[in-house]
Amino acid sequence: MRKLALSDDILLQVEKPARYVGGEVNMVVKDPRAVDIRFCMCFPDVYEVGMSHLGIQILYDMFNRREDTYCERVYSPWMDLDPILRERNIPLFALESQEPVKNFDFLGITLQYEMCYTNILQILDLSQIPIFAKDRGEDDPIVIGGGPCAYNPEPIADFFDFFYIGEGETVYDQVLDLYKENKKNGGTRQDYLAMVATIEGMYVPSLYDVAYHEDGTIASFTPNHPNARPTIRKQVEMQLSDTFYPEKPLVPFIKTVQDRVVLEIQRGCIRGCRFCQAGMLYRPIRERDVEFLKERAKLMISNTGQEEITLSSLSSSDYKALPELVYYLIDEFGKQKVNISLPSLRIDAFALDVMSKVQDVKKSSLTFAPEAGSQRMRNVINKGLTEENILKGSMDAFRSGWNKVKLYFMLGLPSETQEDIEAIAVLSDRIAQEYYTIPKSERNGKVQIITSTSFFVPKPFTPFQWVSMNTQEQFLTKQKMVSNKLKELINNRSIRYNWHDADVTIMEGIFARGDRRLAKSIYDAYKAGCIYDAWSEYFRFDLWAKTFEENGVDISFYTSRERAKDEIFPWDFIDAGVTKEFLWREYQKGLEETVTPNCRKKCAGCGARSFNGGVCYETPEEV
Amino acid sequence: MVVRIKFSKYGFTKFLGHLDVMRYFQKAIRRSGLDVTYSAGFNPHQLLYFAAPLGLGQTSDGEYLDAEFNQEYTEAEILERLNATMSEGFMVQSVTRLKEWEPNTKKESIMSLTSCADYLLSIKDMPVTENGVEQPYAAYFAEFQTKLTEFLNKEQILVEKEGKKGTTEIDIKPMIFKYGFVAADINPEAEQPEAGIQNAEQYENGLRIFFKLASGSVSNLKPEVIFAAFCKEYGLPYYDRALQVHRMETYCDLSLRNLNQEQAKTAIAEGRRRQEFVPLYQVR
Repeated sequence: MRKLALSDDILLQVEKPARYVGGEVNMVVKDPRAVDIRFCMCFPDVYEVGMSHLGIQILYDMFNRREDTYCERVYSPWMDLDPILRERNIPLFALESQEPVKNFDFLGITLQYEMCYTNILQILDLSQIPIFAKDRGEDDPIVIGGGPCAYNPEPIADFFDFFYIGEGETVYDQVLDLYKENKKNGGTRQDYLAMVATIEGMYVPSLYDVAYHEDGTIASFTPNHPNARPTIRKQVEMQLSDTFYPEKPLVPFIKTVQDRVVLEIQRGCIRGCRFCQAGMLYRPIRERDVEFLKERAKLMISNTGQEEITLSSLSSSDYKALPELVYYLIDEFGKQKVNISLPSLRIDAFALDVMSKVQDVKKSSLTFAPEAGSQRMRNVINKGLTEENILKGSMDAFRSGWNKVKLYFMLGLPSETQEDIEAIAVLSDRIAQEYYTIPKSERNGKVQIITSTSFFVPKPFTPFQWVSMNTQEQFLTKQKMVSNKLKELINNRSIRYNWHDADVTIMEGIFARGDRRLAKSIYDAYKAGCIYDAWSEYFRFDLWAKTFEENGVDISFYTSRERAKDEIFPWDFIDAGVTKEFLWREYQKGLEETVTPNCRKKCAGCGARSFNGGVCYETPEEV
Repeated sequence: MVVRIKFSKYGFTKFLGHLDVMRYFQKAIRRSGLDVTYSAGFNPHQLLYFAAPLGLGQTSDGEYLDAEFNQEYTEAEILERLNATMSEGFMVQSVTRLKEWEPNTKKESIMSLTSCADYLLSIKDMPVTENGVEQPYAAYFAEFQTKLTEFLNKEQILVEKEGKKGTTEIDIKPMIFKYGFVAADINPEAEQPEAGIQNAEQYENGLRIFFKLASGSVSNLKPEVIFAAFCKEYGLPYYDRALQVHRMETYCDLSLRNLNQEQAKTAIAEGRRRQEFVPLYQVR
């Protein structure tokens, strides 16, 4: 029986002790003394969020296939345990062996959203690992960052020994092999980091120097070590049907956010929406073979006993064998009473047929993400969904019995006018009007429309990386415009309007395009009590604002400043495949309201062809 | 076929709540591949019925659930297939076939059958801080057996109970059927009186007491409640986190079987409870 790190006394004081005891079904058990490398994988948020992440499940399985490595997990202690660990000086521990994280060789932290940055500091602090990489010694773990936010790692560069840029399946074996070799040769931590820098995709921040112009923009970003590559090329797994994918995912005891088997059907997206970072970062689109997916789905369901399976991708409708896969899953799992959930489906006849088979029409809702209210605005952002698509999709659904529609929009998009903003309300109302054209006897009660707006954050490696982000005041004015317009419309009683918090959005904006100089503020904010910033009950904008002020950080420099075409961005040293020329071209086309066809219709010359695979090498579709 | 599954929950799984245990078994049954029966409707769920829930932090060698399967299996096969998929801290002890549930009639629910349970209550080897002094909780219990015996032999044991209409005093003495300091004290006729404590945690201080108590929806007494009353009586500090409760077995009182809740309450009030306790796995 494993001995737990926390006493009964502590575990019975916290709200959900199951977060800290491990022992889940399919947890890997190894003798820590019998391996060469101990790797602790971390999602810097609470257990229920972290356990829902597919990437960690893939890497956990991949690392543990190595006999010389034991990969374990750690998540952020919740706010009821945090003070207890500090008071009693209990070092943060991994769930599997229940041993302190500080005794591991590696601590790998996934960076899924900007608002987790203070939680990273909490993890390091509670693990009793020096927060700044420069203060770490030979006995401290090597701290690695990875995931989407690693595409602009600069705001948190000081806290990490290195970043793995791109998909984990490709060169982690080299990273671990080099570690063993260095240890065998009696090399130091610095020796190892210098060696890692030679591996493609690995970014060791301490091996680079940044100089700034007087106006605060970057003058130069240069290696200070012969091993450091001037550009870091993102890692891409090109053989998605012949690579690591867990057959036995972990099964949590407590209910998690994503409490189901996840089947990742493809990576990347052909759509080219100009605001979407994932759509640019994960190019080119690569599909997994449908037979591979069928086999994995079966194995994962029988090895976990989960009652639901979900397909994961940026745009499931673009997966070519989707009907074959979905009808197979319905057929295979229907009799086993396994639910099938299908997010990110374009509403068409196929989608409606499938949805009516897998969910209760009366209870479920349709989801559209037009992102912008007017066609002009949708052309600017290259969202290829027309009003006609939405109205027809809704009508078909209404006739099949649905009466709930969810709509997602963004406010603060480049070149946005009052008319574009009000069009959000107008479109919501149009859908309701359509519903009431159906004779009363054939309608299923009242229509319910839920319109949600979030605020647009310009992200690195998107055509909008140059643009000015709106201020809080602008955001709030725009949100009021939507509310006011809605009140004027006939169906306003059928429409519920939700909006996001503007303060958090500003924070995201700062970090998304931030630079190395922000590290000090993140550290100070953490010390001042900022933590769990992604949770509205803990988010303290006042503390953040104060910290920025004390550090002389001008928020608008990072958010609302329009960048010049040739400005050196903090993330320019990363080669994500898409070229800066392409992104600028797309930005200009956006301002001209010109649509770029999707990758399958016509190659836009983004640069991802250099990865030698995926959609770039498919036979072009007949147009 | 309908079966009654008896299982143990011990070690770190004591930190899983009742709902999580239910979810665990649903998934375990799926993994076992046993053809379990589902309810009808758009959100079908497995037809599983659990006996009295176990409190967070408690361990057990006497947990029960009833399940229905579409196919015929031997009891041994179900036991084997479930245990092949159990993870650390769970173990299936036995599988007993029940008589078929008649369609369209009210099922005899396992919860309504439950009327008694055996417990082992132990003092953990754990320090507590009382009035600024930290010392093992066990240190407060000199003459543990003598004092407890004296307390439990009282004519009446009154405890305060908070209800909807405020606090009332109730006598818990009639809900304590037996107690003692070795397992045989509460199960004198059993061939293996220690059977219910194979997975109980052991502590160096050795302070522990066995109880046979009323359990279930008609009349229910938690062992901690008795201990709290004892501490109060003797002016001793009470720390529930320093106590370990282990359920050993769950019983049906045959003299109350086939009675509905109201009838059972009346029967108890009128002294017609004959304490004909049979472990649930023997009730078919």
